[in-house]
Amino acid sequence: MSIDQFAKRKSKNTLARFKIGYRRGETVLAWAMVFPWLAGFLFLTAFPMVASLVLSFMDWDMLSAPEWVGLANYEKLFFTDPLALHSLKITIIFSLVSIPLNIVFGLAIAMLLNTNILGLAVFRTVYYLPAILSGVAVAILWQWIFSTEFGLLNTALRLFGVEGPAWLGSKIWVIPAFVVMRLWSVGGGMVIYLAGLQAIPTDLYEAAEIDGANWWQRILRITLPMLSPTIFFQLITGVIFSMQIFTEAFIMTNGGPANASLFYMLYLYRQAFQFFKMGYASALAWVLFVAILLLTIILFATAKFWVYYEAESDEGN
Amino acid sequence: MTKKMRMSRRDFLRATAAGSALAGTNLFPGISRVFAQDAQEVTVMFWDGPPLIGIREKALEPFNDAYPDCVLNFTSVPGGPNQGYNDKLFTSLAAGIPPDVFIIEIGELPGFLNRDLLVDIKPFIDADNYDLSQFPDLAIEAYSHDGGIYGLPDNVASIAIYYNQDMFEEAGAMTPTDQWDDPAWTVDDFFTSCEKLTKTDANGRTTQWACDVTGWDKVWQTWVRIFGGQIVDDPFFPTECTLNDSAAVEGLQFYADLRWEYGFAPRPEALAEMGTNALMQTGRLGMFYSGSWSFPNYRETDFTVALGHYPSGPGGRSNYVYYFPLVIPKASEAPECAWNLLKYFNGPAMETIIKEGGLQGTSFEAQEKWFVTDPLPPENKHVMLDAARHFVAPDPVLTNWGEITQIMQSQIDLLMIGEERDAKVVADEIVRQVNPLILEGQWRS
Repeated sequence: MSIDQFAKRKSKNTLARFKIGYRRGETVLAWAMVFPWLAGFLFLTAFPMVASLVLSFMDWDMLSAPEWVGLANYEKLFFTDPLALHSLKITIIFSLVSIPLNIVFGLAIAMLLNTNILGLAVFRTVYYLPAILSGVAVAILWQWIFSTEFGLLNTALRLFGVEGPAWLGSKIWVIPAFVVMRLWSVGGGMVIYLAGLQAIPTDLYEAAEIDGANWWQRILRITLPMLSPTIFFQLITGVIFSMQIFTEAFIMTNGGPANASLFYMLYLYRQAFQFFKMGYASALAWVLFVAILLLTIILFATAKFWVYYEAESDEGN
Repeated sequence: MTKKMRMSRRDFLRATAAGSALAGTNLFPGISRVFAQDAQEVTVMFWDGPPLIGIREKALEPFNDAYPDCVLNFTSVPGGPNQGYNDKLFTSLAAGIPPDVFIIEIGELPGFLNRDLLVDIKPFIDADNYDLSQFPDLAIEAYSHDGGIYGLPDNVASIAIYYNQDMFEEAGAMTPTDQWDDPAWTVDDFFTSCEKLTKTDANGRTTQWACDVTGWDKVWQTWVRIFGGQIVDDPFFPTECTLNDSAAVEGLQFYADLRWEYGFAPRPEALAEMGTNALMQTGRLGMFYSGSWSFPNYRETDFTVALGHYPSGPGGRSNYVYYFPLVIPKASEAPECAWNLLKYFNGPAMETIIKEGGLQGTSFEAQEKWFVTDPLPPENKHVMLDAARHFVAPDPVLTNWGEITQIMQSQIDLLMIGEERDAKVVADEIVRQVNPLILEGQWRS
């Protein structure tokens, strides 16, 4: 082997070693970057989840040693505790009404704010503002709005000769009150719809106009199909968000009157942190988790019938 | 370099003085302990919110001087048991590092005793010959179990009727009595006064209400007792809920009818926005129920506010008194300091707590000395002391009384909001739901 060949080979080896070392360094760096999140996930999410699953088969009051009770907590939940099923029922009713309304209003406002009108930025900000307020502040604010005699809502109704109900003091009106309140924060969804609307190519509308499509047809045939992934996303997050409603009920009604607003999470909270029945509360939490998971799976299964993904469609072509 | 690190004599003296000052002022309890080698730290935890924030801490500040062997560490989680306090307390108990002294709701005491978590303070009481007769007998009885005593009161807080004296005079109505043994001021007198006080306008809308009807459990339960009913068969050894007995139902029905049948009390829609206090302060309500914590609201009204007792009925006169205990956990590393703190709290600290914090106080003597004599409105403060002396209605001793209360409340709500007008239906449903829980919550034979 000549000196030249030797030098060439050595330099090649050094480069290979450097590359391996660099890759290793990159890997270590990547793990180091991921580690905080991974540690957080493992210790603050995964471990408590597994622990709560185990606890759901136990009787534990935080002060005495946990006692294994098998399926007793689940049996109680489904067969002997009427309040658990009642709270699940009203949470589902609330979600069934609230989610579609939030989607419709969010989308409608986004479409209005997707036009060229004066003060557009101001309108967008005003509609988005409620979405960034804290839940407690919103709850207290709406307590005043729903006030029967002096509340903004009933005062406005009185202008039209309508005597408003005791929104938060009536078994019939308390859930509609929460639905109305949730509508106030559609600004969060509106921003996402707005982004989706602006991503729709304008040439589609131009082509449709040339073909003589009217406004309604353009909405039905272009806007909604092109926006369907966004609507799907909002639907999924809406289900998760609505099924976990808590702060508003905790602050405004504490489940009353006569348990009419005893949402599932509020009931779970009571069992865990007022009565310290941690095992039963864990069972409640897991039932909610499974319920939300099932709903999500069902929604994903239906997605292929109504959600249009442009990328998938291109691949098909 | 060496020169830089060296401490001059002046600097050393300054540092020592600063350290001593910190130890003396107890700004940093941890540092204090370093300087006071033999002192034991004693942590106390309350749930003080406004206007009590800082008052109990201030009242307990001289404790360190009175007991140099103990160093006080004061903590408070504002807002009450269900707003963070219990979370913190139970977490610290589960971790084995609870405060050395803490307050609990009386309904929680059986659960703590059942789990053997608390120190029996009877040996301390006996050793110091500590006088328990200064507190309501029933409170001490409630803190007692199996020959031991497990707490001293944090406060004794009676509920009385607040009434607008000017409104009563104007209507020519009999006022609530301020004497417990007064044969007058019966349920009939109460009803007649309500008739005189309630006013409506030309359209039939009520412009002035006589009394309040609230879902507050301590109030409706008092009305049940006034009519001779009881919530459970025996508060110290409960076996069943007796709320559907005829006397109890009669009391409950009378109370609900004050709103729905006779229109003496504002309906929920009128209360939803203003609340009882606002109606009272604006002169639209004749009387309502509260404890001494409402005093500050009635110091600058345009009318005179006075205090009176509940009316007497077939079951006599009744009332409710809060008597939450301050307890010492077995996990405390400084039980003697904790006991000293309990004594100090109920002794020298009480003057500041009553005068500046507006609490009723714990011992009868302290109440007589500082609470009753407070010159600020409302008048007749001795009514509250009187009520504490005649307190006869302890909370049932069950490990799950909190849960039972919540179930009762959800049914009582129906009566309060007018969804159900028949008290018997509500009472029957309460008994049906609550009886199995009573069996579940029994813990002593």
